[in-house]
Parts: sequence; structure tokens; C-alpha cells
Amino acid sequence: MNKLYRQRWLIAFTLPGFLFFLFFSYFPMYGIIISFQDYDVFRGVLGSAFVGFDNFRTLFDMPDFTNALKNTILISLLKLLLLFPATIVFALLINEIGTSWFKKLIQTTSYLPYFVSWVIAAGIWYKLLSIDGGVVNGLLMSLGVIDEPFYFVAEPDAFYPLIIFTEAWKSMGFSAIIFIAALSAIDPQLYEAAKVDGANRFKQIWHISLPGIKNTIVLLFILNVSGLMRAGQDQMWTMSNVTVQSKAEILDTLVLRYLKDMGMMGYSIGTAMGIFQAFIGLVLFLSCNYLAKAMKSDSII
Amino acid sequence: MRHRNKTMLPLLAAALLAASALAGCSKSNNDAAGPSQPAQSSSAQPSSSASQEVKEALPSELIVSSFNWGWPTVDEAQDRIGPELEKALGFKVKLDVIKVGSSDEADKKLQLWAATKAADMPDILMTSSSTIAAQTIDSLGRNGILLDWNEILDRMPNFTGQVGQHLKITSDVETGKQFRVPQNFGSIKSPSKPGAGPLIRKDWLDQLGLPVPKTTEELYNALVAFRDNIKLPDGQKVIPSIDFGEMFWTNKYMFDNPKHAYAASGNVTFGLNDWFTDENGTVQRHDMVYSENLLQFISYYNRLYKEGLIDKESLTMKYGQFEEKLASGRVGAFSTWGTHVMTANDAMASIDPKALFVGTYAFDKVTNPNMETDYVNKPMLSVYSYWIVKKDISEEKLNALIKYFEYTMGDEGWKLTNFGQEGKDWTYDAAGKIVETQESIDKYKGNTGAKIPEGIWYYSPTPNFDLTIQYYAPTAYDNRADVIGTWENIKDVYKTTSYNTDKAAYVLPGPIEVKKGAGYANRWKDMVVSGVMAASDEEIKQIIAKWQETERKLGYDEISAERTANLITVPDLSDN
Amino acid sequence: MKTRKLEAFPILNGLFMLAFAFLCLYPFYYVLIVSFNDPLDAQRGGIYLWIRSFSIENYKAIFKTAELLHAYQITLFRVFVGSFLHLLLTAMFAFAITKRHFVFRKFLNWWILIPMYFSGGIIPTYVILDMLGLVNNLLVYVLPHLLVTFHILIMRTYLNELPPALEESAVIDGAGDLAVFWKIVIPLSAPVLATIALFIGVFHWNDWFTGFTYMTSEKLWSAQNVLLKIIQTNEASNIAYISRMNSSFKPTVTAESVKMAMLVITTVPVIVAYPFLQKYFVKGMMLGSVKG
Repeated sequence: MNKLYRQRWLIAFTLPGFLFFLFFSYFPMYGIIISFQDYDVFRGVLGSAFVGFDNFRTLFDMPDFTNALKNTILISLLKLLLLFPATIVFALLINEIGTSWFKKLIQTTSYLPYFVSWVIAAGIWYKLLSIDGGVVNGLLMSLGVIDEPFYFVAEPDAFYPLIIFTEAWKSMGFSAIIFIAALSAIDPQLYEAAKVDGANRFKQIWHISLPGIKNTIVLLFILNVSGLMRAGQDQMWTMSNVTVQSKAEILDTLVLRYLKDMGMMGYSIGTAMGIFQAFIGLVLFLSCNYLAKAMKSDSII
Repeated sequence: MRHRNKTMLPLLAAALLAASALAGCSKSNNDAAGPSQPAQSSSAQPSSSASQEVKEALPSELIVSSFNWGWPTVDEAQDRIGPELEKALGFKVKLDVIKVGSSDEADKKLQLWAATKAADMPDILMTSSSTIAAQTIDSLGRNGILLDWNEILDRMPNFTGQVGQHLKITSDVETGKQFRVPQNFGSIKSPSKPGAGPLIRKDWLDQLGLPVPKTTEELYNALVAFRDNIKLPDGQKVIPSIDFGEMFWTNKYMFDNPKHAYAASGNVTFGLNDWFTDENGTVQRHDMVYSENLLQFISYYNRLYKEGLIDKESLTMKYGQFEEKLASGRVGAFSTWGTHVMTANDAMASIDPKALFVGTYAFDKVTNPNMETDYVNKPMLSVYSYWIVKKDISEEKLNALIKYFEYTMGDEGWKLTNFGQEGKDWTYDAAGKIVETQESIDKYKGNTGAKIPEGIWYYSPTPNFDLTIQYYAPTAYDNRADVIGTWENIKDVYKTTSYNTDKAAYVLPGPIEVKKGAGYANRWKDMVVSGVMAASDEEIKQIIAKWQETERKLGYDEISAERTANLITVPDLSDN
Repeated sequence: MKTRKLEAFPILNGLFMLAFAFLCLYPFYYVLIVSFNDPLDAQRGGIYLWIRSFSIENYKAIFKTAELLHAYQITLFRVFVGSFLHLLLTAMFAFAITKRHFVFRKFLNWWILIPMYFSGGIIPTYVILDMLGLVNNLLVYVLPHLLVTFHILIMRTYLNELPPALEESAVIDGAGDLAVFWKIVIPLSAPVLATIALFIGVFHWNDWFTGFTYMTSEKLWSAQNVLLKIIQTNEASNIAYISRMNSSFKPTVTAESVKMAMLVITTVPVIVAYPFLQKYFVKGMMLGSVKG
């Protein structure tokens, strides 16, 4: 008891949070049962029939499920391996800008695209990349890089690079903010000391900046990996078109597309998909977490 | 940052207090209700003639709710029609609008109410007509939450007279009861001129001395002539035609088998309702049986694509790009469903006042040698939105609802709620048709949106197409060059109209179809796109054959069998 | 001591940043000029670098809506009250779970982790919130968004990076948990608090889902809901104009162009507010001020 009294403030600080998740996250979690039911909205979970793993079976049997799964993993991996390091590099570069007003300007403009919804962003990119008077093709042709317009959005091989590029454009600036904040917390005396020792800019980055934000990097890396099953629904839905739709189909868009025709059954199957993605996500998280521990790094759990 | 310590806590407390105060004031009240007794099913009802002895119990106010995704609403301060209506009915009608962003959101709202036992749901509600809405409503009905309209329809001759045939497709398959009735529906009786496709540049045709195409061959020739002979200013390139786009609009109907197709059946934006009952009584799908038609359709577009007669970007462009190209004046022909001829023409007017799209119908000599045209005028019975009523509504309110519906769908009430006050907003012309007064024209300039705040058009619950035809006077719309031009081209084809009564198209998807039929529209699009871009007719044949094989593997025959077995669940749809 | 590499670096970096900034800025610039262009003229396309036909029709269409003012009051309420409470609770929670001796530390780590992946879904959440009396209640904008696991984790990671010496010396001087929290940890956490404030502030500013799902009455809507309704009304009016065949009426705006104006209205306040948070991202600022 004495121990609890000594830690009373810690308990007080975490009690609201505990209750919050209890009411708003754990109480509604009974909805997970829906994925095992033939859910009828009116009867609710207590009144709907139990169907075991039927919904999951229907889900996995969907004709395009395997394709969508493959695409989801592929796109997530590409984003992780390319965009994640790029964001860190970007944050480091911003941090190196000496002139204050310029730094602020770049930071502000870099995160503007985050606010443009994908519906509008996709419309803009389609116009820019159009083969009928699009600016990008016009520029490339006048520079002599190509002879005739390149049909960006209809080339299956160009599709994934296009996705990565537009994703970087849209969210890199915003995602970098976390790293920029972490970088600003590094003790400037460390930099001073290094300069005195003769370290140049790059040595400073390598030996001070990066290690200084190591835990933030690890945290975000683990979170990104655990999000493997979600590859950017809004982007894939709006940037896709009929010529590349087999490459653009990911798990989330598959569910959205199919569920439109499935009425009430669609809700149960949608829930099943959510459980599937959540389960994989949690497993990935714990695995990465364990690996981090094994490598003597700070883990999350 | 340090000064926050002391002033923080009181600030926090104040914020929380303010928040809860706001919350308290803002908790919505239930609508003002009269005494609520459950309605009894009507047995012998007194007729509503002036000499009834027992006065029907009526409330002082009737609240009618509807989901609304965008229409303007009445302004209480300016409302003129509402008070007039109150005088005629003996009670006030208040239309409560529940704003949502789209019909999908309306469906979600409906489901959320159903999940909480409909406690928050209004007594009288207008909903969307999607599959999920219908399922939710029927489920609520079977569980005793909703009224069965069959109990009161005999008191509503005006209403039934209008929706009669449509009632058959809104009944609950399981119980045969009528938990939902049509609010708005497609009618073959509409007096407005119909739309048609393809839409083609009349001014270019005149310039080249070509007739308006009535066959696929003539259309092809026109497109070739556009590509080769039309010159645009500033060296811009002519786009002979654009089709597909995000909405995947095509003129597949041109190649359909005339015996089993019907209006809009081949349109993927409507879900490709290609089902029909064949000679053996089996339910089949058009694109699985009539492979030759499918081949003609795809190879036609393949040819257009190869010869540059259809915009290369057709397959990928977003809707915004589609609109822009049309408005730029470079396009010779396009496909669409609906009367978009006006939007395109109005947008082009600022660039080239002579530019004019008109609509036409075209048919294919190979797949339709006898040039049968009836099928394009046979739409499906379709309901766009439902009325539902809670079973525990008070008898007063139920009486009021019936009175309100019957009055506004009768001659006098219909004129009041659709056109406004006689003499002030409208008057009769020499032929007895209803026209706007000069005062109204000057004030509103034809903008319905401006009339609604004063109550005009707003209070009408359901259309009455018989009265519409009776009183319809040609409007500025009917006098437009593009509308007249379109009518010229299609009036011979548009002679007879009736609904498609083949039950096959109306069978609700059963569990097998729901599971195995998912994704059909996507696979169909894939197949068409591959065919359009294929290298040869041989390749197209292979693509079609492979697609049909995949459909069979995925369960087409089982779906067909299920539909055939479920034909008996569809009532007889003929007009009797 | 500067090598040639060091001299080139700032220039190269600057050029690269400029190019990237231009790429990010252009689409937004495009939205801006289209929003100030006459909508019917904009339909023809071809607007890339400058306004062809200036007009504020799009903005008029939005601002003439009376409900917008009230809706913005609600939005401001949730942005300030909601964000403030979010920051407070997040900081408190993160602080507590960094303490290794805290009895419930491990349990709470798991407690907040599971909800990051598993959720009950829209309908069960609605049912629970309905039972809690939050439907049609302004508090639904604030209470269900008081915490986000991701933010707690970011802050916890940040706190773990702070030099323990600062806390230790305070504890030796007799400070309890509360004092350490207020006097040391919070001031030092400015960068991460600014980051989280940005995340949650932007969320509250842009969110339309809460209003749509839980509010039946328009009077309880936040600004984003009203803005979206305006766009829908314009789309519907155009459709109405077609279906009612009132061809003497010409719409003055298109849904596309109003969307652009709405985007500008939604984004500009965030851009204006950002510099106030940016000042916390300056290198080493906080550490220096506390140490002294």
C-alpha cells in the first residue's frame, strides 16, 4: 500500500487514460464478434447467428484476394524501404539549413500537400501527367527527353513508381516533423564539442544527429512495419484507373469495392478483414519489438 | 511557460464547465409530440367527405423527416406555401431535413439507428433505395418496428394510383408486407424529353454535309470525317469522340440483342443489370449468352481506338478531365446517360456559340438486322427513395400523414405544393396548362433554388406524373436547340414505352450470388479494356472466351440457378 | 578549416530544398488560382500559372451560408479545448509510463497497444457512445479523442531521451513526481508537445466524420460538415437544374470550383498557425533555457 501511495501521482496521471481506453476502445471491441456472425443490424451481436470462420473463408476465397494481398505487401514494402529513409534524410537536411527564414519557408511549403485530399490531389496529378496537353509531358518534350507524350497513368510498370513519388510528395514533409522535433532536442553542446574535435558536417550528422534520434527512428520503423497490411486506401482508390486496376487493388480497396454489392453481409466481411489486418499488424509489431530488444535497442513494450 | 502553472487549473475547470454547459444546452430534444398511442390498423374508415359525423383526430403539427444530400430547404420566415397548406389540411406540416453528404451516408445513419433499436429514428422518414437500406428496412419491419403500409393504402387512392406498379418491387420478399413505399421513382409518363446517346456535334455534321448517324456504320463514318476534315483554330487537334472515362460510359446498347435487352441494362454505372429469362425459363446473363454481340461491341470500340477515332485517354481520364475536354470544343461525339447535352453545350457556348451537341440513337446492322428499337424505351421499374413509418406512430399523426399525402397528390394540393399560389406564382395559359406568371419569372429567373425558401416545390411528398402530363406547358428547356434537335433524331424510335416486366432483372441477390458474384463489374471492365486495346479480332475472341470461362469457374451457373429458383419471389410486375 | 565540400553543401541543399518546395507548392498554388478564377471559365481548363478571369464567386457561395459562423464556433471549441485536454492527458500518461518503478507500467503499455490495432467498428462504437449519452452532444467532439496511442508513444520516446541528470538533481532537492512533471518535464517537452499539438489540432480542424456520425441536428455540426454540405448543395443544384429543365437558370458555380475554394479556406488557417509552433523546433532551445 505504501508503494501505491508513493506512486499516487503516477496513478493519478494514468487513471484518465486507462478509463479512456476502457470506455472508447475496449467496450466497443465486442464488435469483433461480428466477424464471426451473420450480422443483422437490428438484432445486434446478441441476436445474430454465429457462423464461425465463414466470413473469413468468404473473404479469402474472393477471386482477387490473393492479388490484393500481394499488391498490399509489395506497396507497403516499397514505401518502407524507399520513403522511410528518405523522410529521415529530408529531416536531416532541413535541420542543416542555417538561415532561419528559409528553413521556416521550406518546412511550411513541404507539408502543404498533406492537406490536399487524395481526391483533389489525384485529379491534379492526372491533369499534370495528361498526354493531351499535360504540363509534365510538355516539359519533357521541350527538353528533348521524349519525342511523344508518355502515358504515365496507363503504364503498368510506371504505376508503382508513380505511387511512391506522389506519396512522397504528399506526406514526406509532414512525416518529417516528428524527426525535426526530435533533432531539435539534441544537446547543442554535443555539436560544439564535436566541432572542436574537428568533425565536419557529415561526421556530426553521423555521430550525433542520427544516434540522437535513434529511438524515434526505431519507434516509427516498428509502427510502419506493423502497418504492412494497409497500403494507403485513399491514394490507391483515387490514383487508380481501369488500365492498372489489377496492380492498384489492395486489401482495403478490395473490400470497399466488393462490399458495395454485398449489402448487410458486406459489413460482417468488412469486419473480418479488419480483424485479419489488425491481427497481422499486432504480430508484426511484437516481432519487431522483440528484435529491437534482442539488438539491445530501446523497445516499445 | 512557467506562468501556466498557477492559472492553469482554474482555466481548465472553466473550460470543462463551459464544455458541459454547451453540451447540456445542445442535447437535442425529441420532436414535439402529441399524446402517443399506438395506431390501430384501420378497419372501416369514415370517408373524408364534408358530411362525416365523426371527425378524424388530427394533431396540430405533423413532422416529416427526410435524408437530404444537397437540396435547399424552406426558410420559415419567407414560407408562403406552408401556411396555405396548413389552412387546407387543418394542421401544420413541418419537413425536417437530415443533412448528409451522400446516399451512402444516409444508409449508414439508418443502420446506426437500427443498431440502437431505432429509438432516435423519426416517425416518418424518407430514405435512399439502396440494397442495404432495403435490407435494413425490411429487417426493422419484420421485427415490429415499422408499419405495414398495406394497412393504410386503401385509404390513399391518389397515392396508390401513382405508385401502384412500383409497389410490387418495394415489398418485403420474405413476408410480402410493404414496409417501404416509393417516394420518388422513374416514370415512363414523364413529359420531359428523354436523353439519348451517342451525343454528336450537329454543327460539324452540317459543315461536312453528313446526316445524323442512325447506325453504327454511319457513326463510324462521321467520326472518320471529323478526324480528317474538321479544322480547329490555333492548330488544336480534333478529338473525334470520347467514351469510357471514370464512369465507364459506353454505347453497348447499340449491340445488344433486342429481344432481351432494355433501357440502361448495359450500363456499368447502373450495375450491368443484364439478366433476362430465356425461352426455357432459365435466368441468364446477356453477356454470357450473346457472345457474338459482345464481340461486335468490343471490336467496334477496338477499331475506333486503333484508328484514333476515340481519345486515347478515354480509358483513364477522371471526370474533371472529361468535362474539360467537352467544354473545350474539340470533341465530336461522346457517350453518356442522362440529359447532359445541356451542360456540355452551355459550357461550350463561351468558346464557340455555333457549337451544338445533339443526341441520337444508333443501332447495329449485324447484331440487329431488323433494326428493332423498342428495347431502348423499356426501362426497369426503379424506385429512387422510400417512405417508411414507425409502427408506434400515434393514430392522430397517421391520419395526418394520409391526409397530407392524399391532398398534395390530388389536383388542388398538387398545384399548390408544386407551383405555388394561383395568380401570384402561376396561372393557366390558353390551353389550360400551367405557366409561370410574369411576376414569378422576373423574381426567380427560372431558378428553382430561389423558389424553395418560399415553400414552392418543397412540400410535395411524391410526384404525380398524370397531373404533370395534364398540365405540362413547354418550357424554355423544350425550346432549346439541342433538345429539339435530339427529339428530331429519336422521336421515331421513342414511340412506345412500357416497363421491363421480366422478373429475372428484379430477383434480389441470394447468398450464393452475394458471395460468388462480387467483383463482377470490375472483371467485366477489365475484359472490355483488354479487348479494346487488343491487337486483332482473334485476340478479342480469345479474351471473351477466357472471361466467360472464368465467370463459369467462379460460379455463374450456380448464380443463374439461384436466380431461376427465386423467380417466384418476385410478384407479377405487369400493370393491372 | 572549411573544406570545399562544406561550402558546396549549403548551396546544394538549398537548391534541392527549393526544387522540392516548388513541387509541393505548385499543386496548392494551382488550387488557389482556380479558386479565384471564374468557375464557368475554369471549366474549359488550361489554367496553369495565372488567373484567367478573376472572380470571388466560389468564396461567395461558401460564405453566404449562415450556419458557417456557428459551425466555426464549434470547430474552434473542439480545436482549443480538445487539443489542450489531449496534450495534457498525453503528457501525463507518457510521463508516468517512463518511470521504471511504476507498478502498472507494463500493464499500461499493453493496455494502450491493443487498441492501436483492434477496434470494434463503427456500429459498436456508436452503440457504446449512445449508451454514454454522447450522441447529439457536443462533448462527443472532445471525449473520444482525448488520447491516441501513437502520440503517447512518441512522447514517451522523447522523454526517454532527456538527460536523466536534470530529473535526478530535482529529486535530490526534494521534488515529488508532480513537481518534476510541471517544472522540468513539461518545459523541456516543447518540441514534442508542439508536434502533438499540430497533429491533434489538424485532426480537430479537418474532421467531418464525428459530426456526421453522431449529430442529427445541423446546429451541432462542425465547420467541415457545413463546408461539405455546401459542395453537395452546389452539385445537387446543378443536377436539379438539369432534371427540372429550368434552362433559363444558369448556375454560377460548379462543385469542382467550390471544392477548390473550400480547400483554401480549410488550409490557410493551418498554414498561418504553423509558424507559432515552428519556433519550438529550433535546435536545443529548450534545454538551454531550463539549464540556466
